[in-house]
Amino acid sequence: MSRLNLRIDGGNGPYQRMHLSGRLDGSTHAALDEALEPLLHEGTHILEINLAGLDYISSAGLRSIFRARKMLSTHAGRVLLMQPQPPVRKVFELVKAVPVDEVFASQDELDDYLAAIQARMAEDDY
Amino acid sequence: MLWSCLVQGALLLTLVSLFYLGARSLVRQQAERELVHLAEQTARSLGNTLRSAEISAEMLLAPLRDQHFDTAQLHSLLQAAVTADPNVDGARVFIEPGRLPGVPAGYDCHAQLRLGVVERRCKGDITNEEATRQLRVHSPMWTAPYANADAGGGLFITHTIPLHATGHTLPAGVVSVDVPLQRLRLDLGRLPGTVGLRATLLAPDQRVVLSSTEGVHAGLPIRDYLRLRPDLAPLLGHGSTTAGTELDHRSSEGVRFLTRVAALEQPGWRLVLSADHDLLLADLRTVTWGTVALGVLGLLLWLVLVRRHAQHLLQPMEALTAAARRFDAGHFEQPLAADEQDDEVGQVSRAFEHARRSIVQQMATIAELASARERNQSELRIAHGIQQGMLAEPPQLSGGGYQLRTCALLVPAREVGGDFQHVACIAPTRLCFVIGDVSGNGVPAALFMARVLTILEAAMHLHQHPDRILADAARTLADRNESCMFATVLCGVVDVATGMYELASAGHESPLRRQANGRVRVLPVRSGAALGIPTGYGFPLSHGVLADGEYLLAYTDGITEAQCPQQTWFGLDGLRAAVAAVADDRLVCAHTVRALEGFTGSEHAHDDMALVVIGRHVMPSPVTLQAPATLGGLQRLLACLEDGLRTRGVDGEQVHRAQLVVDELCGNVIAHQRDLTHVTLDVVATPTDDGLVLDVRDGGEAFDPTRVPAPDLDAPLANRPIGGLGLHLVRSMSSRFQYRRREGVNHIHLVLLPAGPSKE
Repeated sequence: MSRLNLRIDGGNGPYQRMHLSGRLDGSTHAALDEALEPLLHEGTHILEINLAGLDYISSAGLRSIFRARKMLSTHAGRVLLMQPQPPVRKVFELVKAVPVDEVFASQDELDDYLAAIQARMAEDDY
Repeated sequence: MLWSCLVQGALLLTLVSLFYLGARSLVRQQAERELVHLAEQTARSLGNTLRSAEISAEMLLAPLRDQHFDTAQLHSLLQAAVTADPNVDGARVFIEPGRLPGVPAGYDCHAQLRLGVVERRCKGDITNEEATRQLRVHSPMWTAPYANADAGGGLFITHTIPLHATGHTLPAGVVSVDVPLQRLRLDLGRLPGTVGLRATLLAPDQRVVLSSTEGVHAGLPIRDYLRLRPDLAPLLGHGSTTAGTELDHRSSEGVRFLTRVAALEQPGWRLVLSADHDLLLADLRTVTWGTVALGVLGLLLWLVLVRRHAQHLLQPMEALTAAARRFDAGHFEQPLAADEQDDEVGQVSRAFEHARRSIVQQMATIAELASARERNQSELRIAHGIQQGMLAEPPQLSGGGYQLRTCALLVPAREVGGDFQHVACIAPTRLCFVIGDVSGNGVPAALFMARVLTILEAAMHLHQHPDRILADAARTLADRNESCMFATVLCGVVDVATGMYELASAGHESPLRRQANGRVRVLPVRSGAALGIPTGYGFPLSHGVLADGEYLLAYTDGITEAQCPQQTWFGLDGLRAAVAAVADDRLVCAHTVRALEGFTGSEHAHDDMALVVIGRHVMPSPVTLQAPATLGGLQRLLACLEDGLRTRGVDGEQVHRAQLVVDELCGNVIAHQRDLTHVTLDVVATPTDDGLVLDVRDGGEAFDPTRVPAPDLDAPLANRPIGGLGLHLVRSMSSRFQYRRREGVNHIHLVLLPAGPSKE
């Protein structure tokens, strides 16, 4: 029963997008870790993980996402979570694994956030 | 006050200004008249002086015309002319030689009054040149002022008249008299000196004869005079001889003058009299300023008086106002100052003080009453607590695959009331309930209720059937019931396994039974007498069976007799409708209360109310699962848990949480136990009313997850370890998280909180 489907798009650019569906638990988190491995380098600025299809997450799955987040943060990269279902979102809230402002309910929210980030970066460069 | 003073000041100023303007006009008119008068008078006086000299000259001349005098006689005449007229200080007679018989050698003598003595000087030889010069005078004339060396350099004017002997055309000589300017100055000196008068006498030859203006000397030509006083040009300029005219003008020094020109009786003589305008009005100004000063002083005095009087009047009013403000702020302690005056203010002041004392007294009384009331309330609150404490928590009972759920409610109309209910297990599968209503309300009813309930409780533990319980209680209560109070009681016993129930009533309302299909029936219960009333009759038993999903609802009349604002009762129909709408016996109490509140429009009950609900339900069987401690085994176990819980009607979110908790607990076993060969995972999930009970057992090494410290979730993400979150999730979603190790097995017992809340 335990199956995790994952799909990555974004090529080699600094913006990577991953879609997760199914269950992310003790038996499937290894597959996620494996898939994330090639993305967790300094070339990735933003890793967007879309959780719209994810039905279940346990602490093992949290660990994988938390790990990705920590690794990217050493290169000033970010992990952004998109459209988590209510039970999954609740789990994130309980363990405070991700700042609330890095979890987005919709594409529009994410776009606004990215626009704000870019504007701030442009300002800093300037 | 300030405005009143300002208005008074303005009025005073206006009055003074009007007075000043009017008086100024009058003074000026008067001054003008005075000036005219003075000018005319002085001109007359000067004219008289001149006329007097002219007459003296005439008098000296007249005898010479037709009489013959010798030198000695002429000397006498000359002396007489000087001494006769006080205006004349000198006289002269000049006769050409050979013209008059008495003095063939001519005569030229001048008499001069000097220090009261007449001195005479005569010239012996009169030359032709001298005679020609003297005889140029053809008609009477006045000379310009000159300094007379004979008279000590004093200034004089001389009037000269030609002497025509009778029968001769050519003058034979001249006669002249000298008038000292000092004499004319005496005339001018009679002018009043207070008004700054300036007088100037002008001769017909356009010269100044005399002037009191500084810098104007006698003999000054009028054009030079006008150069000094150009402001007088309109009166005197261009050879003007105007007299009788007035001029209001300003001098070159800026002094304003009123000037009048008066003509003397001698042709061509004019007197110019100027009066200083400011000096004219000086007295008026003095008077006016004095008036203003006095007015201001008076006004100030008036103000002081008014203020003192106002203070005298206002002080009691201000004291009253201050007292009113204190009253308004709720301060009544400070007494009002005693006001003995018999006016309105004094009366109001005394009335205020009287009211204040009365209020203080009443407030003290109210405080005492409030204190007593607070004591009573406190006692009643304690009594309320005691009464509520007497009502035991309704028990749950299960057996034979069924459970009995009870729900009870007691709402006294005041702190304590006479309604009561009690539910207790009287046998392993039998539940007994009583609900009752004591006659009356409040403390007496509460006291009697305590007695009834105690007796019923004792009877419930002695007997298994409601009729016996009621009969026992009725006997005990009838004894020592001097107050003749009574209680209606419904007693019931329900068997959880069979659903059989028995009911007996002591004058109480019959209970309702709600079937699973929503139908609500009033159960027919034949009633005995109310408890407390001694009778010999018993209490008939009623029977019935409570099926799965049905519940019994017993109530007191406080519910059915609740009234709406239109005085209509909630009634049995209202209660039946409320009950019919709620299938869940756990919710019906709250729903009925809401329906009642909606009906009466008030949250406050007017009568005591009690409800007891007993529902019978099939017990859901627990989900029992076993799997080897492997990832695959755990996955299968979680899948079966989901299926089992869903078939028992557990909602999706709770299933999700159950899976997560089991996943975390069992995942820990799999991840951390060294040898899993013979370890199995046993999970029992029991849905209950309080939540989903999970029992997780494993045969691995001892491990107490409840002792694992909670992670620091508030630390920065970068500093937090990646793991350690699983047990935190378990703790967050459960209550009663317990661990024990028994017979080589780890046993974790927990209750999942209902979906929604979590202990974050």
